[in-house]
Amino acid sequence: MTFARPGAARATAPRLHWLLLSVMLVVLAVVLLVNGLVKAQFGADHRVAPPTRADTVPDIVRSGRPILDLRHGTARTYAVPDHTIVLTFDDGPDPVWTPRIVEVLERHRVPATFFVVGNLASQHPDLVRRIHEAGSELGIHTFTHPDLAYVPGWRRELELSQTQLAVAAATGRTSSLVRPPYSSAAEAIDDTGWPAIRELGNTGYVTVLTTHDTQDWARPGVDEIVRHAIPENGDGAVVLMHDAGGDRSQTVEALDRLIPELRSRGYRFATVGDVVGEDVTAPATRAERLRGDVLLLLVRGSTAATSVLAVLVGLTGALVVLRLLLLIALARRHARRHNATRRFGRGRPPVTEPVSVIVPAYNEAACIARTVRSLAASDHPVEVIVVDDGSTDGTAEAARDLQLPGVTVFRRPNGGKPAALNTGIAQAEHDLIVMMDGDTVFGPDTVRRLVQPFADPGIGAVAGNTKVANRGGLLGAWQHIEYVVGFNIDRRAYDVLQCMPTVPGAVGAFRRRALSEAGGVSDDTLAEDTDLTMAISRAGWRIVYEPDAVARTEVPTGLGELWRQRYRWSYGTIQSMWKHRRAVFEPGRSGRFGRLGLLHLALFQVALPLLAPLMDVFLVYGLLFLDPVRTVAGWLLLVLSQLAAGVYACRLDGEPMRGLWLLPLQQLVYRQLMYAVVIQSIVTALTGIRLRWQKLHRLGEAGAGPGDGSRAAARARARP
Amino acid sequence: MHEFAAAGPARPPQDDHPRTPVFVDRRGRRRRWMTYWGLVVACLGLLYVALVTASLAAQPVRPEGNAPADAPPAARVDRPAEVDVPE
Repeated sequence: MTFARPGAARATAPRLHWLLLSVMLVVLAVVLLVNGLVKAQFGADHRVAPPTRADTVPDIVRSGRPILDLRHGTARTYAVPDHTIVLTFDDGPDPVWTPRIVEVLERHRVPATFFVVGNLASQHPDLVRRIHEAGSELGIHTFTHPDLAYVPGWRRELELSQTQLAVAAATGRTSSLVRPPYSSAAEAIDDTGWPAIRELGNTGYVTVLTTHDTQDWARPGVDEIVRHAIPENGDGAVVLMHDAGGDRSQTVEALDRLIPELRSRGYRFATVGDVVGEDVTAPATRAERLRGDVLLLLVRGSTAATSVLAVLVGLTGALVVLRLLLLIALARRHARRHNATRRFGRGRPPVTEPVSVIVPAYNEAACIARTVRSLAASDHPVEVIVVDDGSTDGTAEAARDLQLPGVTVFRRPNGGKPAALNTGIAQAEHDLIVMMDGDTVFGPDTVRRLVQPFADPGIGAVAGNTKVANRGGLLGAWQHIEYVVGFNIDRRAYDVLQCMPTVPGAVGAFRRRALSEAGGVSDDTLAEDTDLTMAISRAGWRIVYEPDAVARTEVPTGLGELWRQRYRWSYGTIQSMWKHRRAVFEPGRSGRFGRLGLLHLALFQVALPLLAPLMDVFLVYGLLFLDPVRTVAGWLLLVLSQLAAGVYACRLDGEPMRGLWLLPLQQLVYRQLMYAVVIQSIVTALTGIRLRWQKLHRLGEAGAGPGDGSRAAARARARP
Repeated sequence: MHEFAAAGPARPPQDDHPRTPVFVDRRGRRRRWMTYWGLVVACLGLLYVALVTASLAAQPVRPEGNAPADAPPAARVDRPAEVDVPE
């Protein structure tokens, strides 16, 4: 195996993908913003603020004539002629109700004027076209339905302009008609509302108000709607109805009765244009149609992308919660089974045969003495084999100077942890082999408990329970919780499902035959423990978890070190999964592991972390644009289910629960760090970049500075 | 203390044993391919952002003021009430 041109294949890509990812997050934010504006819910058309004084409003405007033409510096107001009705519909188009209303109008051969809301019009251009083709008139009802009296001029222009573009794209025409949201009759125009209405005139719009409000938005019943819509004494009227904003079945029914009723009273039906006496729509220019098309494209893109993402996010959340509940149930089953074993024994004689313990060590001079002493104090007969992998800090000497019986120290040129382990295996005398890390400490009973499952000849490997020794500080505390949950929920579940993905390098026991059938420890991947575990599974051995075999290990204390450690685990796990991908199609135990274990890993350790940033983005989006209560509730459900897993794991492991209050805080920094690691690993895997560790691994560690990845490579392989 | 001369092969090679570590692409073709498509997707995203910005920043569309100020309204409707609007 050679590694040509070191450094040639890394270079820019790792930085580039973070840049691309940030760009995509900004794009996602914009897409969500567009979607939020387009999908925004608004209140029904009733006044939000009580009317104020009307000193500045010209009397003629307040005279009650519903159509205000303020376009030319003069105020012209139009009344609807007697025995004439202008039907107007606000707040649409709506995919359910607008077609039904248009159908009623067509059946009676009656035109109406539809004041459309831009955000709906841009989502349903076909409905706008349908209104137009049915011979009705289109007017503008702003884009997001704000009260124009309270919005600044630039926003009012945007609201009108974007709606105009949506109408232009759908029908090829622009409209001069506007109805301000929350407006009512002309008499109700007050000092607050008047400036906006005057500005509407200045920007070229004819404002259409109402004389007869059917109050159909309140669903008062068909009779009431009809009654409200019929003027007295044959007066002309602008009748206000709604074709959106909820169940409009009453409106549809009322309209179907209203039209013949009015006809029988001698009424004719007109549009606003008929009353004003001019064509209130004009052909859109080519630029307007093009801009309209772009707007529709942008809206369609954002709504489509958002709905796909929303489904993914919902699915992710549900999967995470379901998985946790399932794992808790499985862990419970394991705990019960384990308790029964504890009380009544295994039904087989205890394992008393001597064990070889292999301690690969690279620059562990500080910890190695403690590690080896803890082994020498074991209450099970052990042979300790320390393999010094070319340390430069006198690790081998430190181990040898202990002068402990039963401890052999081997020194070899640096060749990486897998090679060191293989050296140890080759030197080991016994058939039961325990592997541990140079910075891990065993209890006196750890080895004995760890090998007891080997009473069952079908068991090829046993995973122990790793605990964090250095729990001080936030990072230590977080990792401690993670380890407790990882070992007491996840690993118990894997045991029950018989799909253990990893026997941790910090504490694991193996049958020699299982090791040789797996081909020894391979250096194909950066996670040799996962790779080895998968290989043993594929060779047909059962792998179990023994929670009572406790090892204490040191975990990274700095973010950088933690990042490198997790990067190796994550990348190494993905490598191992790929290497053993064929297990999915194999028969027997290997296939069981492949179909359960590999798919579980692929789903929850690869795919889900990729979607995790989306969860955070949607949390913010939900708080801003959706129902904040429901958003927070969904998020709480997630945190609570994690808390439940944490509580149960602590109970199973006899750990105090007081550290668990840190668990919700994990959502803020730790979780993002963890998914960033997985994203980085996946990108590295896909691009085929060679990691520095892989290079150093072969070229020798001498060039590696302190705190470099190679340091992390040799340490804590505990893996929660 | 025992000394070993050199690191031998970690284990006997198997048939499916990869020549290079899993995933490593020595020729860098996958990386170039990923970079290319990553940039394409990012450009599409940026195009989206640019179009949204342009759509919002462009000159607002106003209805054509197609009716002359002094044009008489159609005969069949009453002459509308009219008054100068104070700015």
